[in-house]
Amino acid sequence: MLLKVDPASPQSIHEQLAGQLRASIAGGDLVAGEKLPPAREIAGSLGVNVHTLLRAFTTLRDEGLLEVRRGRGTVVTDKAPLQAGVVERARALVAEARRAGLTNEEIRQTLEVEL
Amino acid sequence: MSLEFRRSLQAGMNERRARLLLGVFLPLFLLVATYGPYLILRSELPDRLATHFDFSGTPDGSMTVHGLLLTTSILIGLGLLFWVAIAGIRRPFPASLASTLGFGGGFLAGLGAGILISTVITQRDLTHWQEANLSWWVLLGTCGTAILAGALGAWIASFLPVTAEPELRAEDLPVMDLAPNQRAVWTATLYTNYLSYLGVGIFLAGIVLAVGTLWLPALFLAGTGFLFLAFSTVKVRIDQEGLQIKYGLLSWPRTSVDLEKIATASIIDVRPMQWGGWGYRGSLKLIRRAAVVHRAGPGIRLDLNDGRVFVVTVDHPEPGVALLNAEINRRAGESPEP
Repeated sequence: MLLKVDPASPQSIHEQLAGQLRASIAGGDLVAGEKLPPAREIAGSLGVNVHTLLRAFTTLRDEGLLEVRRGRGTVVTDKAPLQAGVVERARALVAEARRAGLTNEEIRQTLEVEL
Repeated sequence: MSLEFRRSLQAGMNERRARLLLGVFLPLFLLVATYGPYLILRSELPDRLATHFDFSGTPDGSMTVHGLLLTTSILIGLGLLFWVAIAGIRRPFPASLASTLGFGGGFLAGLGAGILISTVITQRDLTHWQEANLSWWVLLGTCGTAILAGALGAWIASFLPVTAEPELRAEDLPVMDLAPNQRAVWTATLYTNYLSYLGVGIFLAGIVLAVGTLWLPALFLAGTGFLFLAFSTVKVRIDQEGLQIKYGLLSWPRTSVDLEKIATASIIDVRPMQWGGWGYRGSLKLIRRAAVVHRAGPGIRLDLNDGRVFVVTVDHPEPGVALLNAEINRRAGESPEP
């Protein structure tokens, strides 16, 4: 797993980290069931606050890609490798919808119709 | 061993001396030191010697004096044959092979010599082999002699010529693009299932034996099980500090190589036999080469500034190697050579 942070980037640090974790899962670099290294260690290596990294973990947990077990580490979920790509597209979809001027309600309706 | 003493030892050794020591002087010394005491004390030995002991140190097996002489001489002969062979072969050896054979030869010869000398010394003046007793210090001394002779052989053999390393191709030396303020970390885990099953199995066998109060084999099995478990997982982390490896489920023991010591990182195709087999092979201190080998295939090779080499097998090492080289370049850019 490769994580990079760039303080000069307009994207916030936790968004950079979440994006790279998602890409690692979608790209097969992180596999289902794989345990991530301790957050404190990774944050230390990157010189970022551990809470910033945990925030990225939480985002991916909410997306169903990571399972965060207190005291037992963070594990890639079984569905994550297939789901990560879907999440990435969903994010792109929302971004495109916003550019097109759609409201959240309209985006939900669009999806509802497709479902 | 102090650093200065080690440096002077390193400086005093060269290929010619290594060949003479391994091929002539050390074998002669070992033969005299082993068979000398035997020839002097043979008249004082009982007809049969205790050669096998139960766990309380009471003998439960014996051999004639000539039987023991033959058995130990086979070990000594085989060990010395290794030494003489590597000293005599003019062709360079790949990577750590010479040191591996040097260790094997010293270990076998040291084991044979240790068994013969300790038996002769502790069992002279006995009338019956049943009176013998194996004490802890004899057991430890014999194992210690074997390991020391092996380490000596490995160290001396490390001065024999090594085959020229294949030219590094550009794709084996990747460098990552890192902006000045960018920080990165790369982690990889190499997990070997069969080793951890084996480790747990052996460890449990040790506990079963401990319940049966067979303490010595129990301890041995538990220790072996722990070692297997320790090497079942290798976790590698690379960041701006350098490379760190954590072994096993307990993440202990650990090895780390500081970035400032690394000259270059490269991708290597590891062939276990060239590095001395599987496990933690070699020693950065003793033979200036060490390798953590789990399987044949890709790995990371670090060439240190002082010429030492460290290798670890890991899947898809490219990003890690690229990150290390980027950090090395960045460090060199920050503090240019005076």
